Amino acid sequence: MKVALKQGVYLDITASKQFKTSRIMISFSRQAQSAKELAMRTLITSVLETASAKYPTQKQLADHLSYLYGANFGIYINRYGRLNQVIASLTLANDRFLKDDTNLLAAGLDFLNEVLVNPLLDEAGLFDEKIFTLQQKNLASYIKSIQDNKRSYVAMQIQSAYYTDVVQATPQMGTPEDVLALDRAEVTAYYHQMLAQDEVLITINGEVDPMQVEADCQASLNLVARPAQKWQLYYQQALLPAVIRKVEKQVLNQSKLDFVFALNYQHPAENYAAILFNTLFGASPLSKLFVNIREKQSMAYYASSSLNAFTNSLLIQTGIEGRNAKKVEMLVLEQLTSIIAGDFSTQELQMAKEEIITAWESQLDSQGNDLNQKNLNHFLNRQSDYATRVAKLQAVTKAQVQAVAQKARLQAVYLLDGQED
Amino acid sequence: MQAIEYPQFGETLYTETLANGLKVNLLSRPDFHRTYGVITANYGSNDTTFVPVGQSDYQTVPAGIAHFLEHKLFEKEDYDAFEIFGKYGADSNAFTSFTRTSYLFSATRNVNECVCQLLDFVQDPYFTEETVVKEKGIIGQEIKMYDDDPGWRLFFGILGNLYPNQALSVDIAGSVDSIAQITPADLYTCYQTFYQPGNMNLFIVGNFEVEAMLDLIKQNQAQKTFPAASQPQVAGMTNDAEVLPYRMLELDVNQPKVMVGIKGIDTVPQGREALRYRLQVEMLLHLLYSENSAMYTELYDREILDDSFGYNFQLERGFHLATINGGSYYPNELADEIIKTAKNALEILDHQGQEFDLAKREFIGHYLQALNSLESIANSYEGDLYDSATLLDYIPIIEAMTLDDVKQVAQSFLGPEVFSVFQVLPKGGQEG
Repeated sequence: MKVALKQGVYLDITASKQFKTSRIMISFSRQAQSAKELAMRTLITSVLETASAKYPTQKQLADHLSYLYGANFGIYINRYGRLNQVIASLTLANDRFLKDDTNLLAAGLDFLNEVLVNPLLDEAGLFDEKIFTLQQKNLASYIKSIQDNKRSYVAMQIQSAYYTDVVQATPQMGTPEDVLALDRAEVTAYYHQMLAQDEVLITINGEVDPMQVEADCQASLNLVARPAQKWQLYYQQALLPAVIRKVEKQVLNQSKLDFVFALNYQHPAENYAAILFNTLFGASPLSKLFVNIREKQSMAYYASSSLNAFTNSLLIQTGIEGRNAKKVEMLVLEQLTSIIAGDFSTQELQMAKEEIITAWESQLDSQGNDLNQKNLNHFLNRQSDYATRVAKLQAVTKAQVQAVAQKARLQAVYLLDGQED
Repeated sequence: MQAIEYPQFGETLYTETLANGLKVNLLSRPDFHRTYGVITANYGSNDTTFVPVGQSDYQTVPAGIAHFLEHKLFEKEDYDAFEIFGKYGADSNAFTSFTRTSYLFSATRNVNECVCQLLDFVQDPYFTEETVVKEKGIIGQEIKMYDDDPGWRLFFGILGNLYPNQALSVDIAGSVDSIAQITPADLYTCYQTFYQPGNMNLFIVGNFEVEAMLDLIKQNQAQKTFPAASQPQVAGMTNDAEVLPYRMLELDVNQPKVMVGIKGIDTVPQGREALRYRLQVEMLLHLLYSENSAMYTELYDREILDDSFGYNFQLERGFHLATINGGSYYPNELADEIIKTAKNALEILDHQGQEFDLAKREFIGHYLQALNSLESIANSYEGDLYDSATLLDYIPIIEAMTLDDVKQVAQSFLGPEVFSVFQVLPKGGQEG
């Protein structure tokens, strides 16, 4: 059941007895215009998550979550192409399994209203200085620490090299430099703008009475009406004049070699063919990359592809011996060529379809996935009917997969070379 | 077949030990679309010294062999088990820990075929010189990847401090040198010793009909013959107060990382009492080190710890330890504060009545949330270690727990004060 609580504030409820919990997700969405905005949004999640006017210390907030039977709470950012979201999520035990008489869902909505709408502000109306400064430092340090994981580090590096648009080129959390340069007054002002103007979607899944929950949301959540917006999530980039090649040296045991391909397939006509192409190419243990580069050639511990439908691009990640980089690149390109040439059986295509359908079906067993799916459907303005998706996927032909593969153009190659000179 | 009712959660667990010794647990979840199945051998990386089946003397095999065997079991003479599961539209995988090796599938259709395939590929070893050599390349890459992971190095660093010269301090995958020594004959020896049905259990949870499932499993097992059962004999560990108090390692990291290890040298009770002991220690660590604790709040404000701070308690066959760790620009101060808090535990607990009541609510909610996950339910099953307890047994134990229980476990576990510190520091020194 989906309703508009106010203009620009929507509520989507799924009543289900499947889980032992109820889960609430509240997203604030807009299209970020600058790298700095990404940093601001991420810092806001850290500040709001730490304390609020009613729970002014981290301990008081943590104690209240314990009181709510260990409610699982977090505020984080998400990106779908051009869409940037701040999302608060709360998972609560179902009252039925608890020994005292309580209405945890209503208490959870009150809590979310406190942390999102009534943050801890100083007399000047700015975010509390101590919390702001500490979270700013911690966030910058956290973003830096992601670089300690070399696999994600290389993925970030190659994407910032590939994208020509600054927002797409910037890691979704922002950069440590941008975070450290932020000013408390401007972040507070931005927060108020976000709270008043970003589109809000509240999604809830649990053993609930939708009418009651709608009334609880009206009573608990103090959110004003805001202009309705039209969304364009897809980002399309022109082909680069030449393949970007970067080599970085670090002393490491394992080297990493990543690739970005532009796909430029048609939305939505070729969506399902693109998903199948990705599965056959590198997103499955039965894929060309996994079977031929890892299993047959023993050239990599991991070799996989991931599709970003919103930017129409494919990221290939491999962990290899640095001295094999040339050979691995050749092998990756060979796997692509073989898909273009139709070097896969109808049985393999059918297996890929089965694998994807299983993944979709499995998602029906996750409360979090259900909310994510509703969130995405809302911004794509679509009804995602499971049966329709399956039918569309089953209808994809071998030739259609080859056609998408044919459109792949290598755009960037990044080698993090761990060999000692 | 025994049915164990859990009216509080609306669940019924069915359990039976088959004629060949295989223990089977079935939990039906008709509201779910998926079925998750996992078969586990009570055998892990720590079990390198043992008496091979049919022999009488202890033998030591190369480090990393349990994990190597796990990889190789998927590959057969004329097929690959991964591919078969793929044909059924199912996911399959496996993992090896210090004391367990588990093989799993997850499927929404062809569930019966997947269950049989899981049993068949795990119960039909095929190791040859050629396939063993090839695997060394793949696993060598895996080892190198973990060698670049600072968190992994930190953890094995502290294990090296707490259990010097014991198998537990070696990477689960072994080293490039140790796996180079592995032969097909070694793999068969380990397989025959540890992969007996009586040393294994099968846990299936999800969308299936219980009686039909048990029949299917029985039929599958009836078609196979197994050698006479014999209880594996594994060399025990030395759990004494001997530890290396401090070591460090320089890596390419931005922020120093510190881990304090607390080695358990007290005797853990058996069976369900072991589970009670574990949950009490988890409660103890929560009261001392969680976000709700006095230490955390104080050190967070002083910027000695940050959101990367965490703790873990591990109780497995033969050993138990706690690790408390975090990133910090003041790694020495953080280590000192963690140890100080452990030493003052009893005093701290004296003032924790209200915190304890809150923590109980938190634990109950936490384990209730875990019941949403088929993986959590099946993977948390520890067989004999907790006398066949499942996740469904946790909440009643927590509900009955008192603060005095926690004080007692603090005396037992922390009393001997067997602490050690390991740090991963940025290369070439650091600020602060």
